[in-house]
Amino acid sequence: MRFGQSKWFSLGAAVVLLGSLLAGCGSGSDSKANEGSGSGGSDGQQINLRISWWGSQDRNDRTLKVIKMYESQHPNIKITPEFLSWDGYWQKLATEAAGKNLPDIIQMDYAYIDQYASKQLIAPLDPFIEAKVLDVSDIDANYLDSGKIDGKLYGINLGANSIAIAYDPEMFKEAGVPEPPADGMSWDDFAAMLKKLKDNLPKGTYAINNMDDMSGFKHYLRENGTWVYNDAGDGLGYTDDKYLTWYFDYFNKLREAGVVPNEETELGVKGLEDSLIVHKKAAMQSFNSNQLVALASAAGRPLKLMMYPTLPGGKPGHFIKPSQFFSLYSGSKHQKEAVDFINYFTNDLEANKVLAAERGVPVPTKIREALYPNLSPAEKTTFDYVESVGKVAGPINPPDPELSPKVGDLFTQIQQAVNYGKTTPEQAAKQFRDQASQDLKGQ
Amino acid sequence: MFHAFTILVGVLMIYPILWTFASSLKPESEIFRNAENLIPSSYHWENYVNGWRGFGTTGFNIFFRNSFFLTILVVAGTIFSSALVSFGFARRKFWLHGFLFGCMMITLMLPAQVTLIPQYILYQQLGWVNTYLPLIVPAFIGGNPFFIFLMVQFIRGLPRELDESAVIDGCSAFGVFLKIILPLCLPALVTVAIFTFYWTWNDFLGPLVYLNNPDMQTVSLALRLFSDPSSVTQWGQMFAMSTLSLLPMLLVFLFFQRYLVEGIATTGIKG
Amino acid sequence: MSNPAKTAVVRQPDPAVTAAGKRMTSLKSNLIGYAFISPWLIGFLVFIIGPMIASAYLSLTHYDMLTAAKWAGFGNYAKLFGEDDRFYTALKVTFIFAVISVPLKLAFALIIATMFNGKHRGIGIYRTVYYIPSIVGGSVAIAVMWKQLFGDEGAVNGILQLFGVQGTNWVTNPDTALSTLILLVIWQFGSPMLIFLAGLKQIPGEIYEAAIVDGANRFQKYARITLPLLTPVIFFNLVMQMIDAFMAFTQSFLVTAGGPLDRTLFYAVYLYQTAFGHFEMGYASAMAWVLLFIVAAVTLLFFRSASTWVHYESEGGR
Repeated sequence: MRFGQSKWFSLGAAVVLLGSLLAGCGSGSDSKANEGSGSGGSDGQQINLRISWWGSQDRNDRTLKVIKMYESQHPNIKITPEFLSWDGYWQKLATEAAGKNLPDIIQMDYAYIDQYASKQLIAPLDPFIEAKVLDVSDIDANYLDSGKIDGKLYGINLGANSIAIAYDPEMFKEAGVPEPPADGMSWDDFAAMLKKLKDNLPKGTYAINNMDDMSGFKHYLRENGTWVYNDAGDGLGYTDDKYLTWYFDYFNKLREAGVVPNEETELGVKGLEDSLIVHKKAAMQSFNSNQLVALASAAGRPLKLMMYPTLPGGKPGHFIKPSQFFSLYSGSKHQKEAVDFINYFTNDLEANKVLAAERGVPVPTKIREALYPNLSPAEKTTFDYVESVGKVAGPINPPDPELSPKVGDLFTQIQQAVNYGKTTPEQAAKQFRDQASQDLKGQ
Repeated sequence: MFHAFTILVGVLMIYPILWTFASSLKPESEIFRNAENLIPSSYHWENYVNGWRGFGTTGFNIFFRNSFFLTILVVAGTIFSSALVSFGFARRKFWLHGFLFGCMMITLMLPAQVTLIPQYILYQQLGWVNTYLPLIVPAFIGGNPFFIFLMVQFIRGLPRELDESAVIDGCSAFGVFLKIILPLCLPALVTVAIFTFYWTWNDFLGPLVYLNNPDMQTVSLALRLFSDPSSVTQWGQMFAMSTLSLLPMLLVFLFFQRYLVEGIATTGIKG
Repeated sequence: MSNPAKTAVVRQPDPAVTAAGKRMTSLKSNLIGYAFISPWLIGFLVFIIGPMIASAYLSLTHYDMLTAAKWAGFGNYAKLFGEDDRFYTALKVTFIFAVISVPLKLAFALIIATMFNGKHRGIGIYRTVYYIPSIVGGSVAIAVMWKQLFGDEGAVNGILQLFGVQGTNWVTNPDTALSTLILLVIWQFGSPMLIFLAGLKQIPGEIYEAAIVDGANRFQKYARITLPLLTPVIFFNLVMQMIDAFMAFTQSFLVTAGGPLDRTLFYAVYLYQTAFGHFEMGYASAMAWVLLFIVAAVTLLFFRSASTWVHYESEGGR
């Protein structure tokens, strides 16, 4: 009874460890596809489809309603919904991918689509367009291209979107600063306007949140005619560290002048509904255009949108982003039926009336036009914004390569180091290049 | 003096509940704007009504039912298996005793994240995915090594003469376990029950990975379905349902802690 | 009511009886032992050992979960020790966290448990109230609350302002972020408190009665009788809290997500990021096994030390 001092205890531990390390072969890792479980037996007429998405209550309710509508029109099809929160979604999806047990229809994010496509977990939709199961005739190329990888369509855009800056016209009036033009202003004018705002707003109020994140950097790179990643996705796409140095330096100056908050305050924001602009502690806020409804309702006052700053003589920085896609699991046994549902979800007017653009601006032109008259003011602002961005937007870059999540994390780390004053923009730009180049090579 | 001190510190302890409750009644826009204020400007009980509605046709009545079903079975299984196994480890001698105990401790030290995938594949091949089996069966076979170790420590604290006199009185090994050790372990068993209830009720990873159908999901999973970082989050309803989800745990604790009584003194050993 | 028959029971065991017990290691005894542990043994063999071996194998591969694993030999381990600065950061953060939070949490839990062991009016309510922070443990609500409490305009700064101290945002300030998480963990001392309480309840009242006869005062009673008899439970709490601290995840994941500047990058958070954020399950498995070796080594040290200070009534108080 003395396992406290027993050599058996240590020996036991050691043998388990060693044994498991040596028994390298025949592990459960090379998974066999387990047919039958999940999507269920399709004996006879009844067809079971699984569909998964992430979102909040509003999205869950609306999507479930549309599924019911579809089921009532197709009595032989039963759709099992699986909805999760964002943070659990990708963990579950990866686990299901390892078990070869993915849902037939997968809500996909722009950050992951390349990864799932290059591993052939999701199937190209082009054959279904040719077979007239999926109708994309009413969708602008601008809105469709974001789902294309090597020329093949791997996901249908569920909502068009672009980065944007929201501002509070009331606070501009209070500060006596004229409202900015909706189509943006040059980086220099923008900085000058922010400083003026800061000077004329009450003490302790910032002009804008610290918007030096990666999507802003991407925007700036596009204006300079280059991109974060190279075409092969195994290295950086830009060659000169001056871009990132300039970018961090621009915001360093703003932070030192108290125009944007310091990093403590910036990171203290607990979510979109807690943004500085909600508390009237900033007059502007950078974000994604589909978040305006949430932001305006949290602020409790009307907000307007303007585009990101422009580079005189540069290329357009804006592009139309998908808020999310629907993709088709390549192992689905009922691909045609699954795509038919995606088609219904995208093109059916009644379905989209229920969905009410909650995922972002719908991509088919007819749907947009039909929904527009009944929108709330904030939704109308969003639709108008996406419309006008669509006119000036440049073509979208290929989806981020599969190792990009790591690069995204790296950017955040380095950005924090700059903002906390632990490193200079020059050092940060170099460090990002070194580490990101290595990360993108993989393994 | 005792009461004064206890209540003072107690206020710090109870603050999160008060805050969650207050937030659940605030208007959506006030949750972050007047966050410090424990008294809402207006009372929004409809957060409870709307939150309870849940998602689509699956309301929180179903989530609560599922959580209760799952939790009660897991508690029963854990008590059953950890009591038996701990008695074996604490009181019996057998071949490879220390080795097996070491194996058990080792399983506590490997993060669940890395065994998740192999385990999922295993359960999937058994056809158990999208059932409650992966969450319940393990409780009955082995429970949680944490509780086995806990009970082992408790049983080792009990005087061995108790067993020996029972054996002399003609008790079998199982008789000793059932009649002598188990009653004396009441405080430990109560602890196991409370912890298992609370851990299972709050478990996120297991239900996340193994349960697919919305009407099979648990409260802990459903609570996260109100929020989305990139779109509207229903904070008020989330806090309302969070408050409700705390109630069963509070009641279970309040009920079970009464059995934290002096085991030996009340049971008596003169038998 | 000091019954001499009762007190005799808990005295030193008769050496003859212990010796007799040792002779009993027969086949039957073995079988009985295995019968008792069989639930765990079956579970271990069927559901635990396979996935453990699999994860050990995966630690020797590149595995993104979406495609089959590719053999990498000890490449992951070499990279971990040779090139990965964040691995060392995570180790350092986790060690600091464990070394500070575990003793403080246990001390607090023991003091409160001792206080709540008595017979006071409303003791059940008090115990429940003090257990509340542990119940709300991993919820999203608590993450929001904690950030609020220690935020720029939170209650903590409000109190500090009364004393003329200008606060910071404690959660996002790199110098104080880890401390707020340590505080959060200590605040959730309910689990060890409950275990201490159960342990205190198990100490036979007769022993105290004997001590009263000997004329010991309250403090002497506690130091000489209660604490030694509580050592098996103290030992349990120490080992488990230590293992827990090394595997701590939720607090950092929900409140700070490892930031700012990786100052709260718990090992398990980095592991999670690697596995499910970067899809490097092979690398994450290697990280997990390194952690297992470290925790096992520390646990072993504790078990080794146990013979010098842990007092088992069943073994005659050696």
